[in-house]
Formats: sequence, C-alpha cells, structure tokens
Amino acid sequence: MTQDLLTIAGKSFSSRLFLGSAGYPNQQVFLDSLAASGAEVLTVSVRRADLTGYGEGLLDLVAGKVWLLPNTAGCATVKDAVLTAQLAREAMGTDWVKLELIGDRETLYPDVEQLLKAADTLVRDGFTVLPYCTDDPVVCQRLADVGCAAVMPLGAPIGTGLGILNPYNIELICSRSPVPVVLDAGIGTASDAALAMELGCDAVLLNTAVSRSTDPVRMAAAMRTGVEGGRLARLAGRIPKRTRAEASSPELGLIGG
Amino acid sequence: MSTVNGKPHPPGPLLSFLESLGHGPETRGLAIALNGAVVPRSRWTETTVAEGDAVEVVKVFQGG
Repeated sequence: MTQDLLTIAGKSFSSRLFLGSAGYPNQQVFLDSLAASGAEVLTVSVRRADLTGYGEGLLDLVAGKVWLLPNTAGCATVKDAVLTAQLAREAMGTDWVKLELIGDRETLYPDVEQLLKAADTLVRDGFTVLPYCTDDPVVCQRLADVGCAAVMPLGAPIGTGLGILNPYNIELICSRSPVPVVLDAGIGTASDAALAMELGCDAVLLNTAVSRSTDPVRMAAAMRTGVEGGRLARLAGRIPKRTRAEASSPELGLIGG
Repeated sequence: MSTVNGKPHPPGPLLSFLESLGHGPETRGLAIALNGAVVPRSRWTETTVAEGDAVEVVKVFQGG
C-alpha cells in the first residue's frame, strides 16, 4: 500500500489525528497519551505568563516531536483573535493558527461573521489559517475562498462528546471542499472518529475525549486506531446501503433442493 | 503607573516587566504585546514602557 499522507499548506503528516494538550490529569499522562495517539499535530494555547499548570515548559517537552498548532481559544473579537495569533507566532515561531472566534459563551459556537473577517486578516498577514467553524458547507466554502489552508467544522459543541450530530452536512462539506477538512470538536469515542473519516474528513482534531476519559492513554490508542480504521474504510469504498437483505452465501447447491 | 498582565507595575525598561513574572529574555515560548501590538523579541531590550501603557506577557500553554 502506498503511503497515505495528509498535506496541509505544503506540510505533510502520516497521522490524521490532531490532539489537544489540555485537561489531562498530569503531565506524564499527557505525554504518554500523545505518544499513544501517534498524533503529529498538537494544539496549544497562549495564555498570560503568570498562569500555572502542567503546560509549564510545554514547548520544551514536545519540541521537535510534534507540529504545534496554537489556537485562539476564548477569543470573542477579531482584534483579540488576531493579536493572539500574532503573539503565538512570536512565541512559537509558527505561522499556523487554529482560528477560534467564539460567538456565545454557553454553546461555544463560532461567530461566523467575525471568523471570516479574522481569517481574511490573518491570511493577508501571512498566516496558515485553520478555522474552527460551523458544519455549514457555505461557511466552509467562504473560508476556503479567503485563503484558509483547511476548514475545521464541528461535529458537536466543544467538550460535549456528542459525536457527529449532522453526518449529512459533514459529508457534504467533505465532498465539496477545495481544502482539507478536519473534523474538530464533539468527538466522544473512537467510533465517532472513525465515522468522521468514513464521511470523508481528511483528519480529526480532538482533546477532551482523550484527556477526560477514564484511561487517557488507552483512549488515545483507541482514537488512533479509530481514525486509521475509518480512513481505510473510506479509501476501500463501502458497499451501498440496501433496504432488503441480499444473501452473501451462494444460493445454488443447497441441500434438499 | 503602567500594567503587566492586568496588574500595576512602575513604568521602565520592558525587561523589568518580564523579570517581575520570573522570566528573562532567554525564556523560550514567550511573547510580549505593548498596548495591543506585538513587540518582537529582537526589540525587547531597547523597549521602554511609559506611564499608562499596558504590557501583556504570554507563553505557550496547554490548549485544545
């Protein structure tokens, strides 16, 4: 089998699982989960330097092992998101950004109008923009039109673990998108990740489903195999769904005929 | 008075703001904004913070 690489903005990855670095019980579980996941892209945030946590020294821990994808999580205005992306670029030396513009604190749904403006601004400023967006084919097309390197529609609201609430939309987005589609948010378990890949997604980004599971390291391995299984199934081409049974054993040569 | 990450700090060299948070110019993974604009690392030593200015010092942290 030839190598099945994911390429975004000219950068290739052999893993199609992007992992978040937040919410693990401790640093060792985080590092073991990262290893078990096989992820080559790791999302991180930028926060005030006086905040403490196991994220302390995160850069040194993972330097050279993964491709860092800083996010603009929590930003609610174009101004804050753009400055956060610029600070991340300065702090990490990467022009990649997971662009998040939250329109509602309760649902954490993206503010599409502001997201498009911020994406446009950042693309013009030389960023490789991967926007977290709604599962809307038109929104995804607009984001690609302004030059985003990928689109990252949600499966379900962040942290809910509800899986992919609208598989039809995700499949539609995948079938039409001129840029890679990364399913972001809502994944609860390995079958959700597999489904995302079966629907045609190019990759899956998840965090809470691993970090808050009972055994994060084992769940990280489950997500890895889920993504791989779903991807293989997608490439293999599933059988069409039928409304009536069709025997799989030969119908000739039956005894007593 | 000026501020660093929302807390009062006397105006002066930008590096003194960094040091107040326990960091030096060599700490990896940091970035600084002065009044909402990024100050590139190459300009940290020459930058002075004036009365009323707002400094934000950020670092790479865990995130999803």
